[in-house]
Amino acid sequence: MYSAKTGGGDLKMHDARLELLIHRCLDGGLSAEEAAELDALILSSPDARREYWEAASVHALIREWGAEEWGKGDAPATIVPFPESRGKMLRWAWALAAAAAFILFAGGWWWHGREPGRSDGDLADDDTMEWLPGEYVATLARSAEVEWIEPATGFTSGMRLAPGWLKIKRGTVQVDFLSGARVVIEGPAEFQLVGENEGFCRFGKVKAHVPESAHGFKVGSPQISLVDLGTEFGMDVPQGGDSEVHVFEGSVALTQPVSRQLWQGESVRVESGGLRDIVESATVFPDEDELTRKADAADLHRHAEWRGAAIRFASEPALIAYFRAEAAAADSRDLPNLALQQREGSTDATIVGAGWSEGRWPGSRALEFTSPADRVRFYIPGEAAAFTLAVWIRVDSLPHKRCGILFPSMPREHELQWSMTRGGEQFVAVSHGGLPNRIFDSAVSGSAVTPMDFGRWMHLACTYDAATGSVVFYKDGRVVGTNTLPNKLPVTLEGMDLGNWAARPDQPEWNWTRMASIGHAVRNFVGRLDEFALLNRALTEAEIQSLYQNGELAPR
Amino acid sequence: MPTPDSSDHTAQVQALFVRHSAALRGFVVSLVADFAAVDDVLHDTFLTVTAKAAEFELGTNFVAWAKAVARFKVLHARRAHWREINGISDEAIEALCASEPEADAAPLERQLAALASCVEALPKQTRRAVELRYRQAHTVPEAAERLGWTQGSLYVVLCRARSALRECIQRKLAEAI
Repeated sequence: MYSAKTGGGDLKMHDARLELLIHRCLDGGLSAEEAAELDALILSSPDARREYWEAASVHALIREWGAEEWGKGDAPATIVPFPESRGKMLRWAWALAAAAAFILFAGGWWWHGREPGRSDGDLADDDTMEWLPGEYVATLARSAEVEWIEPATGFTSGMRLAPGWLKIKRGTVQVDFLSGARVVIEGPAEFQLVGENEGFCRFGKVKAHVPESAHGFKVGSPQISLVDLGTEFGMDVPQGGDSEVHVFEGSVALTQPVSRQLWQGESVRVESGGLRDIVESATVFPDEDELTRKADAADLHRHAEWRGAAIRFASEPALIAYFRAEAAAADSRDLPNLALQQREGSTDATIVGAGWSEGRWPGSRALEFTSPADRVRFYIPGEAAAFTLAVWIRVDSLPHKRCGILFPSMPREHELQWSMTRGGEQFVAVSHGGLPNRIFDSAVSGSAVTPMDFGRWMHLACTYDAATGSVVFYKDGRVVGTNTLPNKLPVTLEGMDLGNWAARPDQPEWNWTRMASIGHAVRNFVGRLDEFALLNRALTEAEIQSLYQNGELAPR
Repeated sequence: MPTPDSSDHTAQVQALFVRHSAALRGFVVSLVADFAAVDDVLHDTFLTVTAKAAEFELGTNFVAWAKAVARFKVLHARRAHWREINGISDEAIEALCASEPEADAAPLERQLAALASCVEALPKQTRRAVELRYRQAHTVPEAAERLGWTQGSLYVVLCRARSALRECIQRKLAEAI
C-alpha cells in the first residue's frame, strides 16, 4: 500500500505542497485555486496520482475504523436545552398554559370513552399484558429468498416465534432458539418449533450449530431423532426419500431408528429401517455465512429502495412533518423536517435525551428512548381537520399504562394524543369542551403490539377524518381497529413530543393532572424510532399499505 | 418477472457486493469528502449493480466492474449535489480511477487492528480530532467548531495524523510479519 517516496530536494518541496493539497481534498476543504492546482498535478504526474491513492487509502481505512467504532453504539446520550430560536413560542405557550391551569382548578377532567363494551373509555389499571415466558421459544434471525407457506404472511427478521410450524417453499431461514441453538433451514421444508431446545423436521435440509449452553438440543424427523451433544451437524430429510445425518463437529446421540453415538466426520443414512454408514454425502447443507451474505444483500436492497421511496414521499402534498433518523447529521441533536410542503413556521425536531442506536437496517440509525426524560420535540402551526400518523418503531416493552408515541408538549384545546396502552392497543384521544371542562374523545384499536413483537421493527399508523369522525388503526399495513370520535373535531397541532408526554405535575402548568388524579403521568415510550410522518389528510387503507411496503424489511 | 435463473444470478451478484462492500466503500470515500454522501453513492451503486446484474459474468473481476459503476455514480452525484463545493475536476477523477493501484495484500482485519492500536497511541487532542472526523463523521467545519479550533489548524492536525497513522500501520504490519 505504501511505496517509499523517491526523488531529490526539488521533488520533496513539490511533495509537501502536493501532500497538503491532497489532504485538503480528502477533507473537502480545497479553495477554487487549490482545486485547479491539484487538478493540474493529478493530470500531469503519475507520481501525484500514486501519492493521492496512498493518502486516500489511509483516509478510507480510518473511515472504515470510524464507522465500525460508531456502530458499537456508545453514542453519548445528553440532554440539550430547548433551542433559543424557539424561545418566543415557548414563553407564549407557557403563559397560556398557566392561565389554563388556573381555570382547571374550578373545572373538572374526565375521559369520555367511546369503546364498545367498556363503560369507561379509560383503561382499567389491571389491563396489563400477560407475559408468559413459555410463549415464545425462538427468534427468526434472518432469512433470504424465502417463499412462505405457513404462516402465509411470512416472518421477518427479529420476530419472536411461538411453538408451531415454519413451512417454506423455497429459500433459507435461520432460527435462533432461546437455548442458544442456531438452526439454518433450507426449503422446501417443514420445520416445527417444539420447545426452546427442540425442533422437528418433517422434511427439508437443516444445519444446526449447538453451543455448550444448548447441549441436549433435540431434533426429530419421521425417520431419525437425535440429541445433540455439542456440535455442528446437518440433517437431510427428503420428501419420501431416505434421511441422512452428518456430524461436522463434536458428536450427536441418535435415539431413532436405533441408539447410537455419531462422531465428528461420521455420516449415516436410513435404509430399510436400519442405519448405513456412508462415506461422504453429496448433500450441500445450507451455510450460515452464505445466508448472512444473502440476507445482508436483501436488506441493503430494501434499504436502498426505501431511501428512494422516502425521497419521493417527502414531496407528498399532504405531508406536513416527516422525520427520518437517518437524515440527521451524525451525533446531531436536530432532526430536519423533510416534508417539502411543510407549513410556514414549522420547525425541525430537537432530540432531548434520546440516544442513537441501530435502525431498521444493518448500519442505519434510529433514536433510542429509554428514560422518562427522552423525547423529540417539534412544532407545526395550526390545526388539521384530518390526519394520518405513521411511525416505524421497535417497541422493547410497554411499562406504563400509556406509552406515548405523540403527545402535545403543553395542554391545549383540541389536543391530539397518540399512545400505546400497556395491553398493546393503540390509543387516540382529542380534547374538547374547552379547558374548564376538559373532555376527551378517545378511540382504542384492537391488539396492535404483543409481547411477540417486542424487539422487532414494526409500522404503526392511525388515520382520522373530522368529516366523519372515523379513526382507523393499522399495524404493518393491516387494519387493527376502527372507531369513531363522536364530536368530529379538528385537532390542534403546535408543539408536540414524539415518544413522551411532557407532563410536569410538580409545576403549576400541570396542576390539573393532579386535580384530575391522573395517576399515570409517566408515559414515556421505551424502544426505538427511525421514521415518523404526519399528514393532514386520512390516507386510505391502500395508501397505508404501500407506505408500509416501502419500508418493509422483508423482500417482496 | 425475472426467471428463477436470473434472480439466482442477481442474488449471487448482490452477495458479491456485500462481500466486497468495504473495498467499494473505500473507493468511494477516497473520492467523496462528505461521508454522508458516501452512503448515498453506495446505495445508488448497489441498485444499479442489482439492475445490471445480468451484464456481470460470474468469475470475472467483480470489484473492478462494481467500481466502474461506483465511479459513474460519484461523478453523477457531484454534478447533481455538490456544484458549490470545490473539488478536483471530473477529468482528474477519471485520471485517478484509471491509475488506481492494486489493493493491499494485507487483509482488512489486520489493517484495522493495526490502525486501532495506532489511534490509541495518538496524542489526546489529535485522537479527538480523528474521532470527530472519522467516527462521528463530521465535516471539518463542524469538527473544528466542536473542538474550538480554527479550520486551518484542524486541516493541519488531520494531515499530520494521517501521515503518522500511515507510518504506524506500516510499522505494525511489518512487525507482525
